[in-house]
Amino acid sequence: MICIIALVVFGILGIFSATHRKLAWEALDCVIRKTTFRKCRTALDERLRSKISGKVIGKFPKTGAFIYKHFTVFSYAFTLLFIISLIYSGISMYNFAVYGNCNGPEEIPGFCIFDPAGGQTKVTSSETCKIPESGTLKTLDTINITRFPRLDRGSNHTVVFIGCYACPYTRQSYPELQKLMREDVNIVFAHFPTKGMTEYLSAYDYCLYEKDPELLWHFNDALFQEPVESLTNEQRILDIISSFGIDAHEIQECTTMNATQSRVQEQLAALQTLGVYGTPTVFVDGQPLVGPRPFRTYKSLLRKNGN
Amino acid sequence: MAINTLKIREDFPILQKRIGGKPLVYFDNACMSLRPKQVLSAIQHYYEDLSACGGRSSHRLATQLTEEMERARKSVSAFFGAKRAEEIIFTKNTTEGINLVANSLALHKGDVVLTTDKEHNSNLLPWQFLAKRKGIVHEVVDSQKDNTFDIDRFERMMSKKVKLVAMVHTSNLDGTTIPAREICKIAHEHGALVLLDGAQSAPHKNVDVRKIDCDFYAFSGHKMCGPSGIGGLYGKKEMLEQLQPFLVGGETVTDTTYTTYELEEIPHRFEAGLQHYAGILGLGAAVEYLKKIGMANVEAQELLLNSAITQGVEQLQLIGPVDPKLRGGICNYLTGSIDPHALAIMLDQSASIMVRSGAHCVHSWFNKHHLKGSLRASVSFYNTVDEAKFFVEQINKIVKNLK
Repeated sequence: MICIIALVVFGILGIFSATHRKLAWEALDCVIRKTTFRKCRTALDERLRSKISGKVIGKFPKTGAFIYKHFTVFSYAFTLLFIISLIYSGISMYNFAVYGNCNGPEEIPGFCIFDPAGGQTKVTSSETCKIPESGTLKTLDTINITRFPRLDRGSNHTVVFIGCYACPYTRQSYPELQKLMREDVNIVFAHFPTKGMTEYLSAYDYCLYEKDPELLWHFNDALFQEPVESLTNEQRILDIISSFGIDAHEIQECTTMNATQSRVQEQLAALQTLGVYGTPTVFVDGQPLVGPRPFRTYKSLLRKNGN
Repeated sequence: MAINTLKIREDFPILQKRIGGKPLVYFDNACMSLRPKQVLSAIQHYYEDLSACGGRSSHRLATQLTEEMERARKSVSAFFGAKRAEEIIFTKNTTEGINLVANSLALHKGDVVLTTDKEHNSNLLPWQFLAKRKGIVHEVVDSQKDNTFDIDRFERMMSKKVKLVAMVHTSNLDGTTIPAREICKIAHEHGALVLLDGAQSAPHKNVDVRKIDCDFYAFSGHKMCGPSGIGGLYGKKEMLEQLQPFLVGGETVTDTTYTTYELEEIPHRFEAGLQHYAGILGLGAAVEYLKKIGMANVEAQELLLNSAITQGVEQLQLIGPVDPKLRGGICNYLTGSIDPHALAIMLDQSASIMVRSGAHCVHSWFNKHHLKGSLRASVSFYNTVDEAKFFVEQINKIVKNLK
C-alpha cells in the first residue's frame, strides 16, 4: 500500500532528481505487482518500512517497534487518507474551475491552494466599506429584482451584479462583467454604496436609467475607470454626464426628487434583505458568487446552466 | 602487545566523518574494509606522479612505475610468506584468482574437485560451470554440527580421483577457519592440489602459504585495506608454470608471429593487458600498513571485539561455534521472525551502524538449511570495544522491542 504513496511522492520528486526517478520506477513496479497479488520485486515496501521505523526506533524504541509491527495498517490508513485527499483535491479543482473558489459556490472561508492569496474571494471589509464582514445570502426571489436597472436581451440567463463604485474588488471585477455583457445574458446592476460619501451615486444611476437604459452602462464604464477620489466630487460626476451629450443639471434635479429617493431607499433595503455582506456579489442564474471571480467562472456556470 | 586503536583510527579518513549526524560504526569489514590514508596516498601517487604504462615503455615514468609495482609484488609475497615474488599474480580480486585456476588447470572429465559446504559463490560457481562444460565432478564436504570443518569426513572423501581441493580458508559465513595445513597434507598424499580462498583469512590473520603448503591462495585487496579492483593469486612456481593462461593478450607473451607465440615468464603471462597500477601500488601500501600493525595484533583486537559482541547480543542465534576464538572477526546471527534486512536498515537509520544482511553470497548454505538470511557484524582492528558495546546495546534494544 505504501508503494502507491511512494509512487506519487517519488514521481513528483523524480521530476527534479534522478535518484527519486529510479525509486519512482521501483514504486511503479511495486504497485503493478501488488495489484496482481505478487510480492514486490525490489522489496521497496519493506525498505521503506525499515527506514521509517529505523528513524524512530533509535529515539523512541517502543514507538518505532509499534510502527514496524503495524506498518501495513498505517500504510492502508495513509493510502486511504491519500485517496480521500485526492478526491477532495479533485473537487477543489472542479470548484476552482467552475466557481473560482476551491471551497465551492458557498462562501466557506478557507485556504485555496490554487488561489493562495485569496484574490478571487476577497470582498470589501467593514473597515473600508462599513458593511458586515460576513452573512448569509438569501435567494434572489426574496426581493423584487425588477426594481433594479436591467439590460434585458430576452435571454434565459440572468446575471445580477451587485457592486460599489468605490470598492477595490468591485473595480477589479468590473472588466469581467463587461465581458459578460458581450454574452447572451440579461444583466441587472445594483449599486450597493459601501462608502457613505458615494451613496448619492445610486440616485444618479436611477435617473440615468430612467432617461435612457443605455446611459447607465456608459455611466458605469466611466465611473469604474475614474479614480476613487473623484467619486466624491459631484461636479466631476456632472461633467461625466455632460460628456454623454445630455443635460447634467436635469439629471441632478432628478436625483433630488422624492420618487428617486424613495426608489433608492427601496433598492438599498432590498439588498440588505438579500443579505449582501460584501461587494462584488454576483448572481449567475441565481447562483451567488462573492468576490472578484474571473470571467471563466461566470462562463462555466452559464454553460452548466445550458448556454 | 595491545594496539592503540584510537591512534590507528586517525589513519582512516572515513572514520572521522559522521553519517546522518552520528559517528560511523563500520561493522561490514568482511565485505569491504576501510582504507587508511597511506593507501589513499599510494593511489594518488600513481595518478599524480607515475601515470604511465608499467612493464612496457622505457621512459623514466614507466620504469619507475615498473620498479614500484615489483616492489609491491615483493611486499605482497613477503606478507604471505611466499618464496618468490613472481609467485604472486595480480588479479582483480579473489574471484578472478579462483577462476584463473579453474580455467587454467588441466582438469578433465571425471576429475573430482572438493569444496566445503559453505563456499562463497566465487568458489562454487567456477566448479559448477566446469562440471557442465568439462564433466568434472564437484563434491561437497559437509561441516560438523557446529559448522566447523569435518576433517574425518574430508579424509574419507579423498581419493585418487580428487585432483583439486578448493576451499574457503576462513568462512565469510561464520568466520571459522579450516585446518588448512592438515588438509594440504592429506590432499597432497592423495596427489591432489589445494586452492585456498583467502578472501577472509588474508586480512585477519598471519597467513604463511609455505607453512600451510597450499598450491594456490587467492585474495582480495579490498578486504585488507587495499583498493577495490585489485587482488592476487599466490601459486607455487612449479604449479604456475604448469598452468595454461586463460586470459591472454598484451604483456603475456614475449613474441608472436601470425601463427605462433612465446609466453612470458610467470607471473606476467597471467597478467593480460594494462594492469590496475594504482591498485597494485595501493595493495603494496596496504600490506605494508598491515605488517606495521602486526597481524597478531589484528587477530587479538578482533578477538576482543568478537568476544564483546558474542557475550552481549541476546535473543539471536549465532551461526557457527559459540567460542569467539573460532570465528575471527565475524558474528553472524539468525534473526528469527525479524527480517535481517530490516534489522540492518534499522541499525543504520537509528545508530549509523553498518552491518551486512542476507545470504552473504553463500546462498547454497542457506538453501541447504532452509534459511532466508542472516545479519552479520564483521569487525576489524580499527574498530573499538566501545563500538562493539554500542552495537550490542542497539541491536538488543531493537530486537527486544520487535520481538
